[in-house]
Amino acid sequence: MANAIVTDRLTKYFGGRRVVNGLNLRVREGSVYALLGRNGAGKSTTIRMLLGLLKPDFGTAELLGEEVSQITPATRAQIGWVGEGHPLYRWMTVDGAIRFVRPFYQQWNGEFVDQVLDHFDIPKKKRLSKLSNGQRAQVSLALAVAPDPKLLILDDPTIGLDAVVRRDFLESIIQIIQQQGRTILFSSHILSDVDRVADHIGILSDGVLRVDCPTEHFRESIRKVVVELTEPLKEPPACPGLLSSSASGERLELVIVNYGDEHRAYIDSLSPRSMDVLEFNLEDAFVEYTRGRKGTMPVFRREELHV
Amino acid sequence: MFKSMMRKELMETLPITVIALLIYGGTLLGNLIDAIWKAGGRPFDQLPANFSEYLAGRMPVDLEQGFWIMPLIFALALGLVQTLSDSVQGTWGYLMHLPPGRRKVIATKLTVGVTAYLSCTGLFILACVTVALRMSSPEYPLEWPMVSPYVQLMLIGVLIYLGTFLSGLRPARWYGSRLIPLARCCMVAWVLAILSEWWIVSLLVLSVVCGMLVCVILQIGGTRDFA
Repeated sequence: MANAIVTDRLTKYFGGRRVVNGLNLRVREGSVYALLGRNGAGKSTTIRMLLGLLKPDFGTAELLGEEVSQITPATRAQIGWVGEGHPLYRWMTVDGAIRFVRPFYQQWNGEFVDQVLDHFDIPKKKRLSKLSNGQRAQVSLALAVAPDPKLLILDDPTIGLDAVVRRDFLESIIQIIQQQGRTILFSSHILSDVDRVADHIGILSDGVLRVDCPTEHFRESIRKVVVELTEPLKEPPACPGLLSSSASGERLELVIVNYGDEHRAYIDSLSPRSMDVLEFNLEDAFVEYTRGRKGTMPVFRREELHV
Repeated sequence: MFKSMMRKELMETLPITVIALLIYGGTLLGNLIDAIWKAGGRPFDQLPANFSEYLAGRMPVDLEQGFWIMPLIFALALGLVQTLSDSVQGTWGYLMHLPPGRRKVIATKLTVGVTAYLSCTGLFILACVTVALRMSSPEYPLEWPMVSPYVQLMLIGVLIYLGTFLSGLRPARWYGSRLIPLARCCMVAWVLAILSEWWIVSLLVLSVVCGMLVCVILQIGGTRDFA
């Protein structure tokens, strides 16, 4: 399957700081890809480079087969964007915003827009400044999806929304995903949201793409091993794929990537009294993965899956 | 799509345009009343027979008068509104990702800004000239040299508008350096205003400088980061 997004060594500096570092991203057509990372990891910068709003200092990016800096209006019309904070002209009414955006696109699914407005009880005559954050998010999403884009890019779309509104917003996204062939790239801080909608994840840490694999694969790869020893460990534990460890008396907790025979053998060598291997949900796996020392982070790549 | 973009720009610049029209209208009315008053309070239709002379005699020399500065302030305000409103609302990115692309969006903004400025200021000058023409007489005729400074001022205002637009658009580390294009345009405007042979030398220089400014604006708008 072709890639909707391809970046090659994409790099961006702000001042002297490298915010995105040699990013090689591949997002397959029809997939839902979540770009994750802690604050300042480079998610928004990456998205803005993909949209052509920021110029990379090095490297290239292609969207739907066209180099971002050379993208044609026809291709641009096939890319929808929901920006962080839902940037819209707040002095416009909902109807005014629709009338403003619509002429820019050849295709326009007015029925979908009306359905969204109707479902969330958003009056067309109301000014955007008078809407709640959740309603504005829905309008923003409706305007981005109405041109029936092939590629939809969402930059932290649920930030600032309460749990109920977030759930509604996600339902809308799931409805959009169900239309086949559409590629969605989105960044988010809310890992439970990601778990529900994304089939692939990429984790950025200090601008480096450390994880790029199916969501399921990432979640299943990280395990917490709780070991009861016969006596406290004299030296810090050392084994491949070790993300973090904590020892309290005879109790030792290890967070390990790609837990397997090698790790079992290591733990056996410590002659434990008991051992439990615990699974993480995506949020815990993400937290454990990203809070460790960055230099020692194991890297997940799509290619590894084929090994 | 350009109609949609123009409509949006017109709506955003409408408040400043209305304010400018009110000030222009008020100024014209004020000058009329002033002329009538100075003429000794005769009936309106007989009164300012020398109005054209009065108007012409007063405006080109009284640079300190707010009257002269008005078109320039209007041009400045227009340029600021068109650039900073998108910065304040955080909508530059939204605007730039739309299908037409950056340069066309910026070009539309400039077209609307220059048109709004020239039409409002032109309307004001036309109103002044119409009043002066009605009041002129063979003894006090309205002649082109009386009107010319207004038109010159209006055209110089385009330079101030473009300088302000560039200042608002270009990224800079702090406000001081951000205002450099505007400061430079003000200096050029001042030189243009005092040059003799205005309709030959100054107009040519003004056209070239404005053309260069438009190119720089489109270049910066097409390449700058919208973080």
